[in-house]
Amino acid sequence: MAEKILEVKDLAISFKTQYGILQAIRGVSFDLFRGETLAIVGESGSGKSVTSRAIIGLLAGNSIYENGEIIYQNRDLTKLPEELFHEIRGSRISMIFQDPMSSLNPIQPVGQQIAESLIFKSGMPKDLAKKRAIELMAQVGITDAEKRYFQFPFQFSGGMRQRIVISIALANNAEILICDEPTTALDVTIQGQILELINQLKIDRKLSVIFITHDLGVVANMADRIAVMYAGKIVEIGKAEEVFYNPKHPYTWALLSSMPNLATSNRLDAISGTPPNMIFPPKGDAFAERNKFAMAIDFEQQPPLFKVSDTHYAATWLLHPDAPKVTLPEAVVTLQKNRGKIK
Amino acid sequence: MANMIDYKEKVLQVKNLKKYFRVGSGKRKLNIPAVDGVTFDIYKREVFGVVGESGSGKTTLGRTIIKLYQPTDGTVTLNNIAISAGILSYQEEIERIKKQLADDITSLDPLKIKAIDLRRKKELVISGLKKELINLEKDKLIEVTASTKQYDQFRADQYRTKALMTIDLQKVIFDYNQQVMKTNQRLQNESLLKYKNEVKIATLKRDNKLEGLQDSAALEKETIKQRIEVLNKDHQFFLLKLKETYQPQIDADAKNVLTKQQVNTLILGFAKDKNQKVMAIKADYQKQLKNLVEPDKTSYTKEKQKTEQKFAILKKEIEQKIVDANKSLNLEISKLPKSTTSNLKNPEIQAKITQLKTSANLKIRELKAKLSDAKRVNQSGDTLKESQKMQMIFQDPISSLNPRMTVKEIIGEGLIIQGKLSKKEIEKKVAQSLELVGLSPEYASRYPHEFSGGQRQRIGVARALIMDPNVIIADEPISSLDVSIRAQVINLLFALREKLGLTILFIAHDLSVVRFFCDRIAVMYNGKVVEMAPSEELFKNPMHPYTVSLLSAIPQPDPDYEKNRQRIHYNPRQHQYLTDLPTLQEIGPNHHVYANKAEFELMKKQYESVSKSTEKKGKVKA
Repeated sequence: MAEKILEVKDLAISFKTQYGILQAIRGVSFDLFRGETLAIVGESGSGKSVTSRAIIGLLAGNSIYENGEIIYQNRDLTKLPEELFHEIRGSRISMIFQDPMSSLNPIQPVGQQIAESLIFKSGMPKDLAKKRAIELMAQVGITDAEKRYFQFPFQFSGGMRQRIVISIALANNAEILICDEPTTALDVTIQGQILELINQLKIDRKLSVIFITHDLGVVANMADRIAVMYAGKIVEIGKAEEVFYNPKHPYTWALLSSMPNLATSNRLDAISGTPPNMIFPPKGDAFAERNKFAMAIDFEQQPPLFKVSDTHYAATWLLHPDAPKVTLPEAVVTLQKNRGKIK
Repeated sequence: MANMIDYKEKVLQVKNLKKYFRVGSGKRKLNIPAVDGVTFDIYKREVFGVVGESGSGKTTLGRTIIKLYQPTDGTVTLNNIAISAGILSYQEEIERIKKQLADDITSLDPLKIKAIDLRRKKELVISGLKKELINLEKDKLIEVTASTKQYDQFRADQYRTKALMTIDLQKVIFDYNQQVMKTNQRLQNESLLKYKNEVKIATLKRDNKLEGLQDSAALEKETIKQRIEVLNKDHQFFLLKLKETYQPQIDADAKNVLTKQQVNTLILGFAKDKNQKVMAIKADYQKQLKNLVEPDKTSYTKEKQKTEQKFAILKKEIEQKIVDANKSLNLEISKLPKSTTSNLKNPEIQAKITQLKTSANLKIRELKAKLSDAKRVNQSGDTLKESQKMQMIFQDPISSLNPRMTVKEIIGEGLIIQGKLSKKEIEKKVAQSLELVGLSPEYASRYPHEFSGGQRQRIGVARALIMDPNVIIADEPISSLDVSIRAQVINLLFALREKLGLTILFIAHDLSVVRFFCDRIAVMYNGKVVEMAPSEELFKNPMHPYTVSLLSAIPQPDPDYEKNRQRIHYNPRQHQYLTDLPTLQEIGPNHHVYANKAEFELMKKQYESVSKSTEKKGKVKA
């Protein structure tokens, strides 16, 4: 097994809101290994963004760390004071956000924004920083980098802006890159380019990537391992092949069958209802109310993580030895059958 | 589903539709063609998909069809009634005729033509020379950076070692701080403090309860006494338990407690250790810094000067060339004999000119009549009435609903403006359309913020349906919705289409959804339709290179497939459209491709070979 680079242990985070305490994450644990891509999948509100923001220490002021730790380089990041976090954030762990327009300064040339991170983070002299910034721009595929160094964000297209953001994130040789839906605001062809770029950089620099998205196609392309989140918990985690071809949790089944792929022709299986209100989380399994396969115990008691294989775990009572056998949804079965042969 | 479509009845006809946006002012004024000559017909009960990247003009197309924008050119016909028309082509034709007239008149004077030719030649020569100058600058930059490369490398190395040193030092200091913090904690017994705190809280609670009991007037004295006794007993029991649980920890911690002196000596030791480590790290990096060899600075500055001088000379030469060319060509122009009006005074030529002018004026008058007709179409009341039969669903369910209006007001707004129905009738219709989209009619008096994203989009659909439309234009109705809700809205649209026999123009960028939902698909690129075909056909047999590249870019939820997927790049410069102009041509049944003659022949061959092979496969299976 590869070297463990980051460890999240039983993390629980809540937010104070005017309606009460909202439990955003309720006990999330996973490891991140060097050079792998871990994709976190889930609906909005499932806690995927909160998890990633906790890792990079960018949670909002009304957040409360209830429990758990995030261990990086033998330090617990949840207890690290802000002054010491400066040397980790941006230079060791970096993040790319969804909207490239709002994460760039509109009134500063893009080149300067890259150089700035070099100058402030590691005290590089100005002229060297400029040269390095141009090198970085060329590395992420911006042609005519010397000219475009002086251009402003509005002169770049969406895909190019996202490239700039990536080069800023990687300027200081970060080893963990968190991508929070980096391609949701982009077109398919541009999305393809950006994904290829991230994959290339990942191999070149031995990056560990945490990739957050709700597009299962993108996940299939990027991920080595997948964590499916629902209502602040990881409901299934495993290698990409395991989660796609041998999914165990009903929520994963529902996700897989609610998206049309190029092979579906029948009506879609929509997930009925909406996610639960996390100020008053349900007593049993949070997905029980929307679950076609829910059993009586699902409404009473939360399922533990059952082991499927050494790398594959799922939290559902269906995996209990006493549980009845269920027939898989059609979409999941066709995916198993047509493995790799869509067209 | 395909048999539902009525191929005889064209509901919406779009002919050569153009929409240009005017950008900037003065010298920078530009006309940007957002939609550039789009033609298609939509049949009854058909779902017609428009796909493309952002900026391809698909949204502008939808909005122009529903008359949110005035079309620049072309016509839109709904149920055989023209509902909007543009005037650009007439204007362009008039301009062209006027220009042609002027050209014809000058062509009668040979001297003028010669002067024009000479000026053109001059422009060509000088612009060529200026291009050379620009290339020279580029070459210079490359050579100069090459000469300073070694020195830059040295400085980068120097910087890197310094940066590494600071990181190492920070680590040492961090560890030291942690050690100091931990030893300072050992001054006190932590568990004892915790225990005392808990005892304090417990007694406080008991005291509060006691006070309440003593003051109570409702209870008799006996019962009060009894209860106080019980309370005290419980409290004592709780304290005992607390002590039991905490005692072992307290004892364990007690061994760890140190005096201030001990702590100070420990910390002094740590500091000594830290200082030693810091010294060692510094010495180590100083050595490394010394090992770096600084390249000779003078040699590279000399080289730089040399290249700069070389390029300065080259630059001067080209500049001289420009001046010379300018002089000689100007001389030639000035030598030409001046054309005078006397050349045109010949009566034969005069007769020709008047003939040309009258024919041109006739044509212009006809065109102007057509132009005013088109303008009238856009303003007449009949077309306005007809266009009510076309309704739109918008992309963003949050910004497309007014937050200060109730659902009832939002959905019924169209009917209220129409003014035909009474309030009660409108309310009834609102309830009906709410039920149609799967919402309870009780929701009518709520505000949009009380609904989730999927429900809001349902409200948007209900607003479109209440006008009894024939055609619905759905502009990315599912793009901004969450995964699980997307499927709900798609299924709703499916059901409505079957129930109401709607014709839908579905605009989207998600190809897998479009394939799933639409009967026919048009692929747009740069304001033009590049390919149009039935959806299965388009995915099986894409002809235009842009469609091929677009299809290859869709990620599929299947890791094995994704590993082998190769994205095909599309370069718009691969077409040679200078002389051979492209048009939308029919390559197979209902399958249109935008190509010129040469490309079309190649595509046709490919298409035939592919369709033959699929036929064979079909036969084998049969």
